[in-house]
Amino acid sequence: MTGERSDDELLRAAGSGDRAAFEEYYRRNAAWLLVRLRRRCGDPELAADVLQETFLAVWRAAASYTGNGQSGGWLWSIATRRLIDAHRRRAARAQTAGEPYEELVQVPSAEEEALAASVGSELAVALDRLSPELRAVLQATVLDGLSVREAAVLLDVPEGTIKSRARRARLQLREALA
Amino acid sequence: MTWHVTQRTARAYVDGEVSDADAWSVEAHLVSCGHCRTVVASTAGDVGSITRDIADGWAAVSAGLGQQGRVRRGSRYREVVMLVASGPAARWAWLAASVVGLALAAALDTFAPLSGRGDVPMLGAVAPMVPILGVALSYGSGLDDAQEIIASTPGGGLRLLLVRSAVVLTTSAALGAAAGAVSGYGSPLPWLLASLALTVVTLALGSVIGIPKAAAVAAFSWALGVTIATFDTPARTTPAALTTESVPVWLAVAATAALVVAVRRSAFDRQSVSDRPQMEM
Amino acid sequence: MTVPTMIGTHVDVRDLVVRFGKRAALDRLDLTLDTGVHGLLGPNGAGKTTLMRVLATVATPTSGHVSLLDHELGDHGRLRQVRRRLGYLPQQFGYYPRFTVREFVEYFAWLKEMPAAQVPTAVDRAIERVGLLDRADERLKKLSGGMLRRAGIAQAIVNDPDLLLLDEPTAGLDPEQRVAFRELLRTIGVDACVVVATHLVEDVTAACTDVTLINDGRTVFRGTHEELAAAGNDAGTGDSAIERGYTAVLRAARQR
Repeated sequence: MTGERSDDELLRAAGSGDRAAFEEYYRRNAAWLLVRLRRRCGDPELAADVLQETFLAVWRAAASYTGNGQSGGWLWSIATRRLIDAHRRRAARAQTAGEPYEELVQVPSAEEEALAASVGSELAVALDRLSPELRAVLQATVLDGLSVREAAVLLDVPEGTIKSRARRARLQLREALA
Repeated sequence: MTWHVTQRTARAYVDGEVSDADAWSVEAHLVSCGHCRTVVASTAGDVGSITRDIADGWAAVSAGLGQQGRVRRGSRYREVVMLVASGPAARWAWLAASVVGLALAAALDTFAPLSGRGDVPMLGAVAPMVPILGVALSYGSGLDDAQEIIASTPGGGLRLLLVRSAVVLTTSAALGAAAGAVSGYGSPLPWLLASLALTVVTLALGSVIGIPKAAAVAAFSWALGVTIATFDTPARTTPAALTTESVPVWLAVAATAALVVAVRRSAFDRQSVSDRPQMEM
Repeated sequence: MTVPTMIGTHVDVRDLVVRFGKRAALDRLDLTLDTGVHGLLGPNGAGKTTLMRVLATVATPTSGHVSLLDHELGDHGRLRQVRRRLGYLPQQFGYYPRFTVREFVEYFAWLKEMPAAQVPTAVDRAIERVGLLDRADERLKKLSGGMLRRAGIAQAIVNDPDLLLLDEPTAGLDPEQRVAFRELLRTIGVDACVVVATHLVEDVTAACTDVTLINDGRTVFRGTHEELAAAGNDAGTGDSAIERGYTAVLRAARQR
């Protein structure tokens, strides 16, 4: 059984060609990655494609993983590049077909009903008060670690807008927390 | 880890029923917590669309697992290895010529010591030329095949020059020290430091007139200096430049030249490629 | 970590002059470019390659104003910033025959000063995007011309450049590879500025959002390929509408 091994150990084994270890790694990590991707692109089909591309890339690159206990961040950074690429491909196709790009990309759903699952800290309350647009920008640039340029592709707004929204969001957060 | 995602939160997150702010903290936590990632995986086990996508995903992924290829970790060490492994093929010729030159010098010193008036070790005269030549061949000589692309990169200027020069110097010093040990002529320290100083002077001068010309000037000056010193030194003594007395001088020269390189570093931004017109198709 | 962003123009060139001795390869050329795929057309010796070399920060202008990615190229620090965000494939690019595709692409990832942790995955992604994964560990000297060209493209895009400069990138590619390549260009052009210097008119029609035609070191036409085609209604010669437009514009420029 491989149940005892950490994700780092599984990745290391996968890096030297161990398919069973890689399958175990997939079983453990596919779910959260898929859920997070779905939340980002609002299109389950696209999220499923990105999931597959990501894990194929992980298999190829596993030997380069440094094994510092940050496998979650490493996996997510591979996934975001693929997610942005998928959006780029869609945007390119939309341009050649002459369709408006906006219809293809959905900004992450605005207001989900808040469950009182985790205690509403001050920060959470402040975040919830932000408009969905501002929150999406913060999420992309801060939480997901995207560059402004990549966030612009994901959210389909110009880079200047991303910058100004990020500025406004930070300002509002600071005021709310003060 | 001070806290973990509760069953309820995991449930809500998987079902897409948490606020953005809560999802935010869950996601930030998951990235660094393997335990909670498996909790999410088991929670998602009863969501049909997720399990289907994951099963389909595995079918596609497992079918696509091919050869992994020779993938290396990205590290500073690896960077240096790559910057050194590249470079003009001429460096092998340089290495061969250096080995032969130093071996000859060592042989002469051992079997047929040259004594004009002064007593000059051949090895001491030849060894400092080795790294100068090496630097000239490995950077900015027009011999680097990929130079046109390298010239457009941020690391292709001073950084690449320094890495390659350092390797050339280390190799030269090792070769020189080995030759010195064989011929057994005094301490190799003075002329090893002379090598260092001349190489850094080449770089400093190179920031003004380009590395190849600077190397020619430095090598010629050295040869001239050694020749003059040979006739200028009383019989049976070694020229001062090759004795331990010269050590502080060479160190000072090297330090000054290094300062010049640092100050003039932007001069290396643009000079690795000549601005000659290229053929257009 | 602050990530540099693009808000203004990617390429802003005014009054650019490049002289080689007495001959002016570029003669007071103006050009502004933003995101998208931009075709650069012109006859042999028009100055395409010289312009590409100036944009790649390899050749130094004799005079004029060049700003790339919102930066003047004057000082060391700025130039370095810009170069980190450049991708450049020269028309004839030298390579190390003993390097594998992966090593070649990795080498330029390092030279572009990418963060060490990102290098392996970025190299993998670049090689995947040009469709060379199955040859990634083959030595360059064993590759066909088309594959070499694709390896060259991979090194150019490995850092996700904001400004991608490709000089005759389709030379040596077979028709199928060319189609895949144009698709890739369109994808990159979504959020980057891609400049393709080419003598193949069909590359321009298929992949480029607009065309700049230069002749004798000056810009003589700027517009969409439809507009270029329209310019050749009766005056030009050639097999396709755009070729007729191309020859008509050139003829008019020479008569001036």
